[in-house]
Amino acid sequence: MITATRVTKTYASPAGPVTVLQDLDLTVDAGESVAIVGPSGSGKTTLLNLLGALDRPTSGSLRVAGEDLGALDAAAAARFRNQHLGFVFQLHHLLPQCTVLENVLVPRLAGGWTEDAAATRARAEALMGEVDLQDRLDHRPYQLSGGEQLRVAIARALINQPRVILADEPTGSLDPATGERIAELLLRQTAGKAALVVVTHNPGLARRLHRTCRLEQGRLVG
Amino acid sequence: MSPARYLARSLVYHRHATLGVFAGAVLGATVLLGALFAGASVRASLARAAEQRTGQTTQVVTAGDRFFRAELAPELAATAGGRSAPVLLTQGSAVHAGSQARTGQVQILGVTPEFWTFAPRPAPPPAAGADALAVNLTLATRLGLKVGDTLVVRFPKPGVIAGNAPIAGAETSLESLRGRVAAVIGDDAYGRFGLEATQLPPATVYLPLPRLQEALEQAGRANLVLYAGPAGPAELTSALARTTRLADHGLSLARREAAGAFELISTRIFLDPEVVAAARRAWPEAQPVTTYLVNEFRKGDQATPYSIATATTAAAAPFLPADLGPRELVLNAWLAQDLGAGPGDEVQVTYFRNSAGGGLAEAQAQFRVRAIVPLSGLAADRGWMPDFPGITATESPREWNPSLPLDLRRIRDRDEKYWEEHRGAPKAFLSAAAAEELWATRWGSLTGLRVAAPATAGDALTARLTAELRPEMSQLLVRPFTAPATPTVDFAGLFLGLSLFLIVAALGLVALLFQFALLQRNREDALLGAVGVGPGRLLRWRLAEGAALLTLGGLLGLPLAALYTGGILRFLEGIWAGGTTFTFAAPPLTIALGLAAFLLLSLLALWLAIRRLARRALSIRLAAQAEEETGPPGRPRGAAALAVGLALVAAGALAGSGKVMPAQGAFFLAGFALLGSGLAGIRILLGAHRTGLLPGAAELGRLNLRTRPARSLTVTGLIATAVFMVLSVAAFRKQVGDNWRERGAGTGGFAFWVETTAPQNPARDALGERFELFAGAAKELGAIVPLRAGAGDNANCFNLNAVARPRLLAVDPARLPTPSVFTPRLPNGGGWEALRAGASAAEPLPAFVDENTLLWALQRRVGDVIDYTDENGRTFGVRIAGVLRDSIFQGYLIVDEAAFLARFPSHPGPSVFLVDAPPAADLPALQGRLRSAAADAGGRVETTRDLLAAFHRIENTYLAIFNVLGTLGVILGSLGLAIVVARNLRERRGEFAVLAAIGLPPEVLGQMVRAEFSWLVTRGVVLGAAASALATAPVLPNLPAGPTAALVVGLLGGILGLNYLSGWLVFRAALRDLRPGMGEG
Repeated sequence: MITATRVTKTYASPAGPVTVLQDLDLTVDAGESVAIVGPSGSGKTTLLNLLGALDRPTSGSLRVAGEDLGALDAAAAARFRNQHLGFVFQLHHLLPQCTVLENVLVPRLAGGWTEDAAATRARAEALMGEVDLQDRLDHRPYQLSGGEQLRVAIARALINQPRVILADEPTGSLDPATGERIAELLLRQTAGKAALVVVTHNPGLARRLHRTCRLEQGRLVG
Repeated sequence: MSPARYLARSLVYHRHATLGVFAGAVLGATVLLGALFAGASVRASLARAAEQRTGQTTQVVTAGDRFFRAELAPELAATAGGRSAPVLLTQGSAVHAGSQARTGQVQILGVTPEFWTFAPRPAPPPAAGADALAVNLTLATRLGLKVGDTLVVRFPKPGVIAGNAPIAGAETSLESLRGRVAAVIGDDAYGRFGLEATQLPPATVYLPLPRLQEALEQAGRANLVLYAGPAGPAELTSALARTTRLADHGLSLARREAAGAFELISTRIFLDPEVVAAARRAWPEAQPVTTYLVNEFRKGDQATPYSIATATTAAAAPFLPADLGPRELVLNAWLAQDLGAGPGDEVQVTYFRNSAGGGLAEAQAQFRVRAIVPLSGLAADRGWMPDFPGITATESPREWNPSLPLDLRRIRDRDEKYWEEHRGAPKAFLSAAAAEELWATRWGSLTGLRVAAPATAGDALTARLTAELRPEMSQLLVRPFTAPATPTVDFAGLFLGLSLFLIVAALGLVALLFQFALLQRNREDALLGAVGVGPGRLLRWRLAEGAALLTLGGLLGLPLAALYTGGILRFLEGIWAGGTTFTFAAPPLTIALGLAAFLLLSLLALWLAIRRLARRALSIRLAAQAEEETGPPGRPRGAAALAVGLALVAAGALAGSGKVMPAQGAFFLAGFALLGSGLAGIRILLGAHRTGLLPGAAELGRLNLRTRPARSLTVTGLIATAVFMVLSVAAFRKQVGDNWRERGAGTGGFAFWVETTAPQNPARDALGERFELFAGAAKELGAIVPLRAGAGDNANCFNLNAVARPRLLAVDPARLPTPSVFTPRLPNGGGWEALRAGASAAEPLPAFVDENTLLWALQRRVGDVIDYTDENGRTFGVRIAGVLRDSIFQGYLIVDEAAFLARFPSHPGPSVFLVDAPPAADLPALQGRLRSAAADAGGRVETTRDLLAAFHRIENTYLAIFNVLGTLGVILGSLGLAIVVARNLRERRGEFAVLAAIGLPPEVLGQMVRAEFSWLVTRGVVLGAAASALATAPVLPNLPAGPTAALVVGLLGGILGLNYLSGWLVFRAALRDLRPGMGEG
């Protein structure tokens, strides 16, 4: 599902170029869940951004769900994300002007969905049931706790039935108990349906995934 | 959730940012649409005024200073088709009999009922009555007249020739008419009628045609025809040629039985050269006759005063020798006896002729007596003498009153007896060549043309002559009267130009606010991108949001623009006082174009703002904790090159000043380049690295600026540009300098400009060039330079209509005090003598023109040629040879008098005078006396200083508008600065919270903010002021030091004060927000 070959990412800075990822190779199969761990600044989030077509590698090849991400222009990359990827961000990034249900339905704003709007809505409501927020559909994000907001973000990541889910520190700002529930939810919702790549500092969460990859100074070391 | 719902939700949720953008949009739309509406309103108002001025008339037939049969009007309409009305038009003054309020420059119209059918909205003629007259609104307002009031109208009764031709008639005299105002004529009822293309309606009195004809002693005659019908100018001219009769040319065919001939004579005494040429074509056998008044025949001690003499040929007077030489004469027996002269004797002939200045001078010529003829037969025929006014009808030479400086005491009894027995029978005969040499005037040289023919041949001769005559030979010219009025200045363009800075500032503010709104939603946009909303779609959404706001802003801006335009129009009416009214007009096309332009420009600004943000990778935007990515400062590439390049441009402009471009333009360019160079330098400063110890609070504030260089530069640039524009333009305000009595000034150093309704010729009752108008104050006055105002329309800044042919103003350069007076500027140097360069008829007439008239009213260049029509309908060119800078001649083309009179020989005389006075003269008292003296002549007496100041007021008004709008731009700039600072403070709430938490008091935070603020404001103000000082360097020495310093200090103080106040208020508000939580919240 994911094949990264000799991927390098370099940023320009006033002090000169900074290489964040160097000659990275990674393969993730369909239905497989992988934890990316490593110290701060090791390039975890950068890797996630590259896998999510949010950024482009400086060199190397990156294929996700059969697409060569390097060959996609901005519009094609957006379509690709909309059709095949789901994101769970550490800061959730819910739209404050929209209700909880509307936030789940945000990916549909991209247009081009052949599915009937009512069917999507029904699925969104079902997902909200799955994340145990079926009573909060019309609430606004600011009326939810951090954990609840994260659950909404997970539902949003699943609404397009993605082939790959990318999660960045999903439990980073949660207490251990809530983090555990969120991890459970993520795994339950993706099991057998999508490849899951999670950047985390949480060893407990990493242990529950199929595989753990360690990043250090831009290279996979294990 | 649909995109529309999402967008609507977003607008509501981000309402503060939305309102900011909306307010900016309203302001921008108001200013932009207001400028367009002002232009459309002025254009529409001028078009309306032009329609009211011309009414239904499509063409007019004018006659210069001449008159034709009033019956010509209906005959012309019958020939050409359509309808017509005869009008008798003259100029004069009017006095309200009750209040004694008086005004000059009054148009007096003698009209028939047909005249009123040509009104824009025809109404029944005003009530008639023996003493009834009507006035237009302009005159009624000026004199406070109402129906029933009594008005006294004074106007000149024209002489035989309007001018100062010797012996050609009594001088123009003033007549008065008293009448009761029966009606006040509104604009739509032809109250704006006038021949001059101006939006200012002339003050007008309407009289029944017969009444004015009687007062002017022009029974049955008119001098203007209004025409409306299918005929175009060519057809109407052709119809006019077929309709005119000899009488319309002022000609008649008199039977001279004694000679067995017919004689063509003119009511103007002298036959026009054009008419003579036509008559010679019609009658090749015609013989010339010139009869003249000889002041004295003298042989030795013997003298005969005031005699009539005739010059002709032997063919017309067979008693003359066929070979009579040009210095030979034939005396009749009476004169020969009186002088004791016989053949071969020398006789001195003294006569009047015109001097170069238009006055009368006596001249002498020596003749040898060739023969003596008996006083009988054709030699004693009284018909040789035309109808000399003041002479022919008298019973005795002692009663002569030809308005000539005659010493009638010299008349002897024997002279009286001669008159009694022989009247005007010539006492001497000269050759035609002698008359041509001595007695030719610019009006002509012949008083008659004789054709020997039987008495029955009159009709045939008339028919042959009529076939050769053309209307234009007698100044009967057809003129189109429907030319649409176009403004001299494109007011839409002008106000757009004047408002440009404000519009740019408003749009910049909109873009800034929109950018801040986008920054606020940076992560929202990044999220939408992450979940698959394509960049194009997102761009369209954001533009749609912007467009919705801008459209709403534009729609709200419409009524506000109408109000704003209303204010501008009232302001303009205040400038062009005297009947100029502007009505609001906003044609749908203007609205559509204005809104479209506003939307396009605004959306372009928004698009640029969105593009700038969208260029960043989604990953960076998602990760950004602050709303804007802030990175370490860097030295911008190209800024140094730009700074140096623009500095070189400034240096180059200064080096080329006065060589490749005018000094004023060069310095302005240098100032502008310096501004750009300075801004590039500031950009470099903003990118400079600072290392070292932990800085103090002020330094920390300045470092903050460097994290957002684009914002900082935008604000500084806005302030610097605003200061530059406002100060530079303010420095170009015009004032009449203390040097106004110097010859090189725009006043020519003259004390007064005197303009009369009726032409003023040198008095005819005394030799020399004494003008009656100035006789009472002659001892207190210096040189008087008369000028002749001729064809064309006034193109000064009071006339808003575009003028293709400015009025010609003819001056004799020799009468000017110095060749460099008024400091004419010619491409190859030289002075007023350059006006005499094109003396031949084939060459264009050289002319000087005021620089402002050339630049703004004519929009032409030195060297351009403008076509005019002479009094006989022939086209001639006037070449702009040089310019007069900032002069009292605004609106005119100044030409040489002699060349002018060659093309307008019938010109009635000077009506403009430049009057000198000693430096110590009491000018107000002198002005009062001159005004009294000029009152009857409808005279306007102004000091040249006041006249120039009146022109300056118009120009300064434009500058004032620019300054007001520029100051609004400064206010917007200050608002932008306040918003930027507020934004910075908001983005740094966390930083402040930390600083506050570790114990830094608010005063330290204040120091930080003040330092940021001062850095931006002082650099903007100093840079703008320095650039403007350079730009205005050439004019600075001419400005009064005190007021200029006060203006600069006031402006700079105001700008600094405004900025510091807004900054302080923003900081106070930010501090209030900070206290409760001390965190980012």
